[in-house]
Amino acid sequence: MTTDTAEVLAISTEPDPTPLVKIFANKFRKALTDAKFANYVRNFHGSFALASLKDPQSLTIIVGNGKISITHGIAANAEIIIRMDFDKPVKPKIEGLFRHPMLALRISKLLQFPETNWADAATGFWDCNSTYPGMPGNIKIHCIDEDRDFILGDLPTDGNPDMHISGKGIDIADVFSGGSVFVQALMTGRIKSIASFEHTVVLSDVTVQTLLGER
Amino acid sequence: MNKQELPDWLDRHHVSIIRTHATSLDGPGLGKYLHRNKFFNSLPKGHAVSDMALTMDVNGTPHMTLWHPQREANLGDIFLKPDLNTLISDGTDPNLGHCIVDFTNDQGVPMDLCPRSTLKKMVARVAALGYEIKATYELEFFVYKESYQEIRASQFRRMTPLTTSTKGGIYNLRNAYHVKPLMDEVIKRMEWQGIQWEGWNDEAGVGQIELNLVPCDPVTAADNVVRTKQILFEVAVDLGLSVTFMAKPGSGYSSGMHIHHSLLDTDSGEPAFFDEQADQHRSQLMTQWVAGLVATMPGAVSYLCPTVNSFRRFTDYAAVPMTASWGEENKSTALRLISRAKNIARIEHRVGASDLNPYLALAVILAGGIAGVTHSLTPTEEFNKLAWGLPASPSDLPMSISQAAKCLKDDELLAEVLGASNTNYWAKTRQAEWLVFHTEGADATSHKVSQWEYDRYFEMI
Repeated sequence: MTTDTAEVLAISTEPDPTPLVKIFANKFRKALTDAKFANYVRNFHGSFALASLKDPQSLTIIVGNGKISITHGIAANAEIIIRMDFDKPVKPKIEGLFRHPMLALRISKLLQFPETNWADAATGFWDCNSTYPGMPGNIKIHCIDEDRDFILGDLPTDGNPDMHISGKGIDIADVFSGGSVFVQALMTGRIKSIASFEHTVVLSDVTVQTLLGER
Repeated sequence: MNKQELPDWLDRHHVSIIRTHATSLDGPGLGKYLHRNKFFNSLPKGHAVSDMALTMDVNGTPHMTLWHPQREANLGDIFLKPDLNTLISDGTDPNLGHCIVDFTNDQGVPMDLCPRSTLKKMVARVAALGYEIKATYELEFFVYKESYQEIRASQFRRMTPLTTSTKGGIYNLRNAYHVKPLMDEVIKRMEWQGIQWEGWNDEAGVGQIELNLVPCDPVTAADNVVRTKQILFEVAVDLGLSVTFMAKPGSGYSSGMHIHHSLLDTDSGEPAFFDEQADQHRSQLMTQWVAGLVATMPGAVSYLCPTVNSFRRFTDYAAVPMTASWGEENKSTALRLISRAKNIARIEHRVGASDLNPYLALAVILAGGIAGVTHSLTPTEEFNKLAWGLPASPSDLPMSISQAAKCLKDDELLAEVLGASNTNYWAKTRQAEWLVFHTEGADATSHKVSQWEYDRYFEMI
């Protein structure tokens, strides 16, 4: 087991965790910086499993006594099993709901990780990663639902950014907060970009590492 | 051979079409069938291919999250530069010739990521130390009665080993006889292509064969492996059978690719691993070389066991090394040293899986040896017991593609010799392989070979 602490709450995973375990450990790690969420976790006791509706990916989360344990697979002692689509907001199938209705309710609240404002997410991402080799020197972000521009780094004097990204606030926040990989957001059309191949690839690389909690 | 000599060679061998042959990072053969005029006119630079040819995964998906300084700005072309010394006629197809090629940029500079060029660099490093290398590979593979199409159509459920026994065995002549028509044709085509072989036999797995090639210089040895694998595939297709280099295609034994190598003093031509006066006849060079191989082994596993499926080999008492260990004539350790006689003094590296890229695998082995010599490393203690079923220890090899990639990322010696940009890029490709294994439908909780692995590796690797 490897363990780290975020806001005095310990998160532990296996020595060689699966991507899904790493992703959820990272989600919790970030969310625990939110005092309200951390307080909710401190008072939470229960075990549950999340399983993909479309592939064999699954994990078990056990929360209690200030500890969050995340392991791959569906543990035999999971009180609730939630079968869901990890990529899309599809209605989940829940096993154990009738035996543990209150726990199911509390889990649904637990899994509502605090949302980050897109500009804050972008700023936080930039602070961590702007010096990563191959990153653009600056990025101009356009949030289409707010019709607002936001600049990361210093724009050159000609005003042409190294990279131009546009999309809805929710999708921009998702990419920059480690919710999804940049190139996947491009391929699904959630984000549009004007950038060199190198910058596209490097930003995608960094978002993979962010997603997995490695940066 | 040079460009001026080429037309005469093509005329004399009646070759009108040349197939170029490179390997991608993961090992599958890549190239084009070219009209002789196109091939000739493209020299010396060679013909163009997309940057993606060198930067894609085993299934041809481009690396969209991995950057290397030599990648083209906007998916531009790179080149496949022919090594005219490898030009041969097919032997079966009267019009066809084959030529091994290297990945280069527009200026003809070898690409850092080119597997064959990486091996060449390591050979040059060893040459600079004053040594030549002899190397060879043991090829293990499984043969099935069904064609690739039939096996694919059955979703890999109908795979009938081409043997008599359903229990395996080894060196069994009756098992081997079932495979003889395939191997006769393979050997014939190998000989037509100038590939020297030593022998083949029925191996321990049901339907498993081992084929041994004659030792030679490392680049030719690796060329011979990629050519032999292509021949095996083509003969299998022609005979309606299938052959796979997947490391673990079923529940029984797995396939490895053991790599033997020895060093010769360039000036004297004498075996450099052997010292008549030294303890156990092991020269200081061999001792330091072994130390380097052991020190870099956890990181090297990433190259030697490149797929998710490679790691299914690692089981105690399954003829697969489990620790970074070495021993004289010890087939349970990772390195089997043979130092009892001058003319056979060599190291057998037993970690490699059958699905490795032969250029990169030998390159990482040489890199380890080079690191041992240049840093005058001292080896760990010789292990002269059975190296299976041991208690957990720091010498345990990484047991997953993700652990091995992490070991490689942390390996400063391999980064120093192979180049950090190369080792980092490779480690990230393995992380990408790990990611797609988990996110494209394989079951991490199952010990069975997954449909995803069959789909991805059975035919391609």
